[in-house]
Amino acid sequence: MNYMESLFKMQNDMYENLKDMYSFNKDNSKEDQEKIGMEDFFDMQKKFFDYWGGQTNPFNIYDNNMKTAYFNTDNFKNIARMQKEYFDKFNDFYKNYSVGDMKTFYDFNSYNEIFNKYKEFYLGYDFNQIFDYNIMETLDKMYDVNKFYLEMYEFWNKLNDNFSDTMNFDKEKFNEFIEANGNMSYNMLVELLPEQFKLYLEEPKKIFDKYLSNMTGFYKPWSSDFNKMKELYVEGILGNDIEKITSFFKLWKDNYDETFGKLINSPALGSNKNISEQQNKAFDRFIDMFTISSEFSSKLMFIQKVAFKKITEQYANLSKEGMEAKTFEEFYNFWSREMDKYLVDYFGSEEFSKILGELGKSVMEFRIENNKLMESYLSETPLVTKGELDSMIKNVYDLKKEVKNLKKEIEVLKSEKSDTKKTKEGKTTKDTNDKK
Amino acid sequence: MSTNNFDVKKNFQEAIDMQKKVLNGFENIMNMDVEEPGISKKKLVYGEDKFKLYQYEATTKNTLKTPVLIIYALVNRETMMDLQENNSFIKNMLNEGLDVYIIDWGYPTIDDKYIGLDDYINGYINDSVDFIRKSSKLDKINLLGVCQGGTFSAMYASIYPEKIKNLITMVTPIDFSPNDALLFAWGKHLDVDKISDAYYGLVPGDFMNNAFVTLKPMALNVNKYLDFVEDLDDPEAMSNFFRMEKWIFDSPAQVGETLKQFVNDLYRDNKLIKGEMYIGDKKADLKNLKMPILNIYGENDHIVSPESSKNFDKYVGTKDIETHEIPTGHIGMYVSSKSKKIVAPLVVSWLRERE
Repeated sequence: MNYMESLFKMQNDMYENLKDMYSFNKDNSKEDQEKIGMEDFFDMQKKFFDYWGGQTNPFNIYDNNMKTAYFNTDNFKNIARMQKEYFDKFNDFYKNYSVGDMKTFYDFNSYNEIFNKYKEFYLGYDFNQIFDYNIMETLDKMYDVNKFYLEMYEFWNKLNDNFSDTMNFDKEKFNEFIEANGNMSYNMLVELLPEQFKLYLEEPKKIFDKYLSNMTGFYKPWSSDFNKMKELYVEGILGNDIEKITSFFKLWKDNYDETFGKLINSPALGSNKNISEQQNKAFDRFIDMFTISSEFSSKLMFIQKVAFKKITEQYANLSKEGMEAKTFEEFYNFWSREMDKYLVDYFGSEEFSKILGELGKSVMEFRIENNKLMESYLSETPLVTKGELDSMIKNVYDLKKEVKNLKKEIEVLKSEKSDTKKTKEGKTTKDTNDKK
Repeated sequence: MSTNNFDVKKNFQEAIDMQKKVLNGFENIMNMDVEEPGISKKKLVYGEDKFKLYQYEATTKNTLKTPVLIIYALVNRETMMDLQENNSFIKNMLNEGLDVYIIDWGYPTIDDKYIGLDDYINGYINDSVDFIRKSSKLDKINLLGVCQGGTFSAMYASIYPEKIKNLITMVTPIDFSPNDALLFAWGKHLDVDKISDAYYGLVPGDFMNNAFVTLKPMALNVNKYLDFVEDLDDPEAMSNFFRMEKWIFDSPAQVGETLKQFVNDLYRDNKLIKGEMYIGDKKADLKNLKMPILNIYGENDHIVSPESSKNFDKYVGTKDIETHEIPTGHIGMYVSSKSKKIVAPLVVSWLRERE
């Protein structure tokens, strides 16, 4: 067997093996078009290879050439036909090969369809559609959704006020009744007690009254401002009112300073007095920092929200004029550039500079008091703290400065001495020369 | 409904290009060799405590006799002026035949917490100037101050005018009243005493870094890194990026004592232009500046307000003052093509005219 025959045989074997691998049980798949298509495809492939093998076999070529010494149009037509059939079958095979409703492969004529699907997918990100000027009304509603909650709040608040007004009358009467009833019961009871027992009832009552009065006084700033604080907070947050947010935090802090702040800053007792006081002081500074940082964050969030809305509007306007971004990159560049502008504008404002200054101060004050607390904790350990090093650092600094100054003075003195010596030497030489 | 202008093909191409860049960049990053900033050769000639005075090696025969001492800011490092081979302000000056000295302030530690403006200006700068005068056997030398170093230079030259031949100030704040740069607006409300105390008199470099990146939040925290992806397939551009990144975050701590006086006297009280500034027991009066002055500032400087620099001529005692606005930013003054084409030739030719 010559080389070409071996090659054709090998190809034929490969084809048979391949066919075996993909062969189907015909009993179970008579109606299965895709499988038939595949078998047809393999058959055509076999025919194609057989024919190609026959035509390219040097012995056949020789025979054919001997028989027909001119271009064989029949052979050419056969090759063309076989090629056409090959591609038709190939096309049919992929056309019919499907899994459920989703085609895994498309026939050759369907690439446009694939591209369209791809395009359709990306068009979902078309900012032109997302930020269409016509949907601004919807976006406005989305931005102002919190106003719905604000209106709900106002509705319930009004209802509550009306209800409370009615209740206040009854409550006052009720309190008067309780007080009168209590006094009457107490007086009756006291009057009935033997004189020596009265003390055991009267003194605890005084203590209780005092306790009640202290607690009422302590919480009074909170209870009297409760409604005001609630209004400022809700209307500030939901109504996008930055002034009210600021007022809420200010009122909260004022009330804290009037109540818990005083308690926290009152003198401590006992051997741990200093550490306790320092703990309280650090906590008090923490509250300051917390209050200001909350106000700072609220303002920053508010600015970002406003900037977001304005940028969306700007983009919608661009879109209306047909000047919207054509790519993701263009859109991102527009968005980030505008956001930077809004933030930097706000960062440069007097309002931001002031609150940044306040925030910085409160953070540093907390840090200072917390550092002192840490140093107090560490004072009993062998660890040297930065605070303890301070006097040594100052001494070294002063000494170094003194040494530098003294060195300079020595240099000046040396230089003066040298100048004087040179002058004297010059004078002596001159005198000697004169004498000579 | 609007028309559809979304360019699918261009987006697809950009997405593919980006992925290619990232894949190429992976290999580039693995093999990246980021050189330390500061490429020109220099030798240590003098020093005290942590500060060092260097003299650059000449790259050509000196054509100008009077040396130039560069005084950089205490914030960040002076290596920015000599960052990369193809973009070095120092190299451009050396190639033009200048004899260049530079002060390296070093990295202050807690034992430096009492060093004040008096020590920096009447101490280190004055000692450096005296050293150069002595070694070059000249009564006067040229002073070139950059940013905060420019303010130091102006103050120094006003106290010791007899030692300075020509003064060059670059991106230098003089009038601290404008608020068109964020640091100027914030500085007026900053309780720097508290900041110093909270950090035991040594404010960490990261504290300053965070403030600087907030000056352009999107550009410096996000976009810069997105733009970097564009250069991932370009090893040279990546190397330059990393070198710049290294420089940006290589921030020495700030000595509280100095920072307090600088912020309170200048940002808050604007004492220099009012003639009320004292360095130690010496008054820094800008009217004493009678030497020729070259003042250069960046049109797009977001760190030092251009308004703060441009009116320097109103406060000095000389009419021989030139003011130049360069269409670049604070850093671009030293590491941009404009630096090479405009800034360095301007400085050299100005000095040459006054040699």
